[in-house]
Amino acid sequence: MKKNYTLKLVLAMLVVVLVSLVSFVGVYKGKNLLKEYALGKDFSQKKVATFVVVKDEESEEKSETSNENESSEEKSEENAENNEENKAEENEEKASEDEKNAENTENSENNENKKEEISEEQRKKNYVVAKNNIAKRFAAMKSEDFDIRLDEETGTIAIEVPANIDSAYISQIFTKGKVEIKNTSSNDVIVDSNVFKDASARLDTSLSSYSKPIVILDLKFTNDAKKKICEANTKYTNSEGNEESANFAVVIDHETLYSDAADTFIESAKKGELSLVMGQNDEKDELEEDYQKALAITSIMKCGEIPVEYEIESMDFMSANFDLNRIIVAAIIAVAVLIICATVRFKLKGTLCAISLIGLIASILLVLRYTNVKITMFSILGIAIITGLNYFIILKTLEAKKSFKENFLYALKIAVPCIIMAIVFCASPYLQLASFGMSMFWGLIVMCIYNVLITRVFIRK
Amino acid sequence: MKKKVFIASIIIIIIGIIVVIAAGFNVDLRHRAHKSIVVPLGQEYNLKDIEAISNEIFGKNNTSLVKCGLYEDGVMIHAREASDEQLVSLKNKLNEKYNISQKILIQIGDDYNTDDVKAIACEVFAKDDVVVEKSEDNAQYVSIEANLINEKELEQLNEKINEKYNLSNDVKSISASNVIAVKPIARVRLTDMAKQYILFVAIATAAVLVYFVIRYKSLGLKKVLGKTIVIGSVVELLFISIVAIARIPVDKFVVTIAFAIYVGVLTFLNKKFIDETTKEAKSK
Repeated sequence: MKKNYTLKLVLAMLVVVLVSLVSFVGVYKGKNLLKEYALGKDFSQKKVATFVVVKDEESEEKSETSNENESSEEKSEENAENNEENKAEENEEKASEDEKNAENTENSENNENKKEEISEEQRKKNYVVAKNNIAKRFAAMKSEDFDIRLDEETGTIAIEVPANIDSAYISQIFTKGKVEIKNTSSNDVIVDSNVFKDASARLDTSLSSYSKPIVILDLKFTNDAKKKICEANTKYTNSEGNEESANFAVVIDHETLYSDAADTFIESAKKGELSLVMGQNDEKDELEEDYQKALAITSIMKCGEIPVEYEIESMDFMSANFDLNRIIVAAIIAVAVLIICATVRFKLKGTLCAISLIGLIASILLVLRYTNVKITMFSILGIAIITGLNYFIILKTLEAKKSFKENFLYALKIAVPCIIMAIVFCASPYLQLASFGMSMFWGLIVMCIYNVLITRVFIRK
Repeated sequence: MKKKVFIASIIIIIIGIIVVIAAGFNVDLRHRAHKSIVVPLGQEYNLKDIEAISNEIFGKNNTSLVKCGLYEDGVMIHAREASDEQLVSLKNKLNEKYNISQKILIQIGDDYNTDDVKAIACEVFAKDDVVVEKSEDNAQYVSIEANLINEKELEQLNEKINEKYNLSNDVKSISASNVIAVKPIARVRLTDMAKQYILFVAIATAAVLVYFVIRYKSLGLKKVLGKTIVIGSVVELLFISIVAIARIPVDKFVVTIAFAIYVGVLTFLNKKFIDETTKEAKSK
């Protein structure tokens, strides 16, 4: 019986060593065969894109004219100085008139200032609306992790996103997003706003109707748009004076997304839906690119137009916020402290059990690699909670008041709030919370299996 | 004892609230409005060396450094403020340390004299001698050898060449790889940071509360709800107050700790309720 236990113990230790080696060191055959960790923005390179407001030509013209006015005022001042003596008498006569004029000009200046103040206020409001809409677009695009900053004076927006997000999509998110339905033949606008009530992108890999997987963009018309499209004139008169069938198109910021014969377009509008193929490809990367593009369009359509036009100023790459090596050192110190505490209290048994924690962490990390869970500060917190929970089970069992099974079930009961949180956070579109949820979810599953197979052997008396 | 701890916590929270109203949180430098100085070095470097230089110029604890560029061959210095003198000093010290050299290419046209351009370059870079030659690839371009320069120098160089040859070149059209650029960076609003968490944390909290109410109904609805809400809020507010009073910089690490406290408190309360219900069942 004792021999049997020793064999099991040795096997369990070998498993711990093997799993730890595989997880922490890797499996090498020329290169590491293990899948790389998916690192979140906290621990990986990121892009910082700065977008500036495109100056409105009208406002520029206004400022130019105001400059001209200023210079003409200066000139008139100079002239006034030169003719001062000559006009002295006239000035006396006109003094009363001038006073009245001055009062009038003051009033008009005040009114103009007020107008400028209002437009200034409106401009700032527009910047805030634009920032909020852009943030919504990024969230809808499932970019997961981003920081957005607005300079309220200039309207400049800086956004920090993971480096793997294509720069083209970042620029696409900053487009004005004015969606229209146009008669491209006559250039008439049929619907100028509130065109679609919903938009979604999906990947069709069923190959039922296409030979290669496709990316589809599903658009749902609003009732108002439907009505306007159905009532629109489907004919137009060409340059020779003949009446011909027109073409209707979905236009985003003056660029045609989809165009079709008016009758076919109206048929789609009557159904209330429009499904567009955004790409067809065998290659996973290219298909992913098409899907990202479709997602960007859906995010624009869902979140609406932004009141300000932006252009890119710069795009910089920046290294991670946190040094992963420092976190690893902190984790090593924490585990060492746990092992020392267990050893002091329970001698060799305590050491063995605490060492099994290393195997648990290694197993969780392996699972996180292959389940594509992004490693963030919150996912590290999730792993720490699972490790703490397991340490609690080990200590309680070594205290010998209850059996391992009882303590395990007790620990699971204690962890119920964590389980509830994990389930809720898994549904979050934001990376930090989602990574916490996912690491807790997988951590709990690994913990259950690991305890049954490994920790139980170590802890057995 | 419990009462004393509770009263002490309330006092700290009140002080914290006063501090927040009076001075706000000490938001981390990278999350507040600041200047970002991008220094493309174009070579390997030791961040600690540059940290020492930036501490010397901008003062200790006034900057935060991070590697930048696709190949991490540049450095981004986040500083509260950056005066022209400080930027010149930074440029000089980095040139001294790393001996950075680059070729600046400017399109002038067919008719130009390299000696004239040389004179302009010497004046702008405040040097006695600068290597200036016609570009080997395209003689319309002039190639000027320079160290690490800043945006102002590049603008001056462009202006003077434009003036000399009656051109209207934009600075962006100049090919220069090592130019220190300064950008004003707006703040990140704490409310924007919180927005990402509020909804889902609220849903999770509500779900845990519902679980507590159902699971520990024998302890009484008021007791369970009251304890959870009061203890949870007090502990979280206590942490936030300590952060505000101690002027700890608010960054993502602090947010992670706040979140860990939230998870810890709910788990601790759950354990407490389990123990209480077990005791109650035993006594019955």
